[in-house]
Amino acid sequence: MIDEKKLVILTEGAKYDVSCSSSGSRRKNKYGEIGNACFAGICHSYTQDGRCISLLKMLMSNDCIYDCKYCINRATNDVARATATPDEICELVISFYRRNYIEGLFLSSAIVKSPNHTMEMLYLTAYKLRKNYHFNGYIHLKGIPGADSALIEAAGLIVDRMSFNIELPSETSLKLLAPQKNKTAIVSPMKTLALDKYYESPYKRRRDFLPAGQTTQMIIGASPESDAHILKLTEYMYSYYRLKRVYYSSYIPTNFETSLLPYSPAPKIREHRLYQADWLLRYYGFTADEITGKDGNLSLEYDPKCAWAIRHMELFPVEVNTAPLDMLLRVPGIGVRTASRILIARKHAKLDFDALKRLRVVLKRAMHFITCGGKFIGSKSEYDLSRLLAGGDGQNMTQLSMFEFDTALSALNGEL
Amino acid sequence: MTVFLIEKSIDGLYSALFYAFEQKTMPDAVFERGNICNNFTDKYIEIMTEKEKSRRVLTAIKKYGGKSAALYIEICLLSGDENALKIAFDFAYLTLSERRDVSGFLANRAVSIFYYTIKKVFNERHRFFGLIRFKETASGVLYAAYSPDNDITELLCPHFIKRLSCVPFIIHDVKRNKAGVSNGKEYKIMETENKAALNLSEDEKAWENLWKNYYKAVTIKERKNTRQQDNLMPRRYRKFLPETYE
Ligand code: SF4
Repeated sequence: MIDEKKLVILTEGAKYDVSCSSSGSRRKNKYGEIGNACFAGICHSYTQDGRCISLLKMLMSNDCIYDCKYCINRATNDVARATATPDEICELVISFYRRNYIEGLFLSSAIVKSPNHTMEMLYLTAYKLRKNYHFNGYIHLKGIPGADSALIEAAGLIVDRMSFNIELPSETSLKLLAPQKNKTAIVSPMKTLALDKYYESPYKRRRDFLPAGQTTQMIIGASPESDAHILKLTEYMYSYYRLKRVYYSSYIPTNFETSLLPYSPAPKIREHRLYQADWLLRYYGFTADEITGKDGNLSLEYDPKCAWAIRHMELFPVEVNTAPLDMLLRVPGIGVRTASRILIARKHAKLDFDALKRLRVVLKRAMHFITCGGKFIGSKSEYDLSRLLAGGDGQNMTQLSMFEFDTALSALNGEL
Repeated sequence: MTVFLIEKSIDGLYSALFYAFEQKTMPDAVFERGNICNNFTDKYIEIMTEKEKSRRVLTAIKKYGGKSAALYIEICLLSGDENALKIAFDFAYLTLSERRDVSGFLANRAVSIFYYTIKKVFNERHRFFGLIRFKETASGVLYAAYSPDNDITELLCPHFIKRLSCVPFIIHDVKRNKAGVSNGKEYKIMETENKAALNLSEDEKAWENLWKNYYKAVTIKERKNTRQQDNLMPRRYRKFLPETYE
């Protein structure tokens, strides 16, 4: 059994990685073996900071030879070091899984000795878990930039998801803050994982190569890039690296000071807005260029969909009974699920405002952008609108943003 | 007000529907027999369960609403909502009187309430896919106690059988005094006491302790947001979670 102190060190080192999602894979149970994966993902607990615990998220080791400025495990930082053996990790996963504490493992690591050595040990752990411990639950393995591509591809065949973190939104910032890492080392394995051959038969049919795809993460607010820049990069990675998700992690100062980094943590609201924008890219048919305002940043006051709608009042109001899906999706107060409910319901009956309430349209916001059977009950003055939508009516800002984007919450809790 | 008093089962509900059509009487409320104290202003109609009538109603529901309508009505009966019987009744009634699948009538009041009621049941089931906590007993059987809002034990068992493949387990609803008992292949629902005497395995405490430590360590203290935690993991569930009970 793994030592308690060791587990705490290795958890502390991994917790700033945002992703904990266990979704996207339908790995089946094999008779007599343990575990399976649920496509929608399952949250097992929630921490006091409100994040979901789905996977056992830990480092194999925090004993790093690199010295990334923003990282608590960097070589020059004075922290307790620990390394766990593959068997210690496997036994822990199985014991937690049986008790239904977790949905699987998210294993990451600092660079021990060399990138290749580290990747080998990560691979060995995943391999043992599958072959010796007969585990069919979810495994997310962090990829180590600079490791052999043969190792990386082999890992892709036994785990559900892999991620190489892009770390910072630009090459300049990467050079400055993570001097031993370089863009090519991060991006080329991402390209490998996106190779066409893995998305064609026989891999595709058997779904045995990374069934839950690859993801990445970058730190927000440690470097000066604008939201527009970040969203462009996000859009690019979705289309060229076949990413399933891009995660943003607000910069949190670790226990030291350097003039290269801001003193204070990045505001959580910015991260939240980026996630909302990311949803617009993936599910609402928006492009990055449409989402950001003139100054290249997202409005902190209102959510990006509202901000866009207010800039485009000439397109509204739309008639809910006839508007096409892509237009309904652009109405503030109507989400993906609500829109699909509207499509079903209006086949059977003409919708009035009461019906919209039953369909859980957030009328308070939507009413300014829709007509219902020709009726309009919202306000057209731009002044009124921005006041209403930004919560001038007593609602506080974060509350307001939460309820339209109830789905954005899943960004934090790993449901999708 | 007309109140139907029925047996809380699918046969009880369908017998009531048969009665409503036969007698051309619509109830304003439908409750479980014995669960309500009479007053003098309401009119109570007690409806006996009759298998044959129930079977005929079921056939009609399947014919008009399809198999899924019949299934959803059963799910609705698992709901902890005090009006669950009436909600299921209204949906079934609408299916029978419209003589077609009404599940898409989301703007209709009865359908919309029905839809959100079963959605709640499914949501809670999904929640407990994650929130069930097993303890390992000395005999190797895994045991979990919980107290859900809806009667979801039989919806949870198949999930855990698939997942734990061959490991026997017990999921114990201490609120309803019932348990899903699985031998690793199949499960049965049994009546129980509301307490179980457990003989835990040697390592159980140690693993539980590691889990608690993990839980503490993974929290980012700079980002406390207990309001969000409360929304996502309501306090009433927590006394069954080792990481949150003290
Ligand atoms: S490589 Fe950089 S970010 Fe990763 S653990 Fe080492 S110092 Fe931290």
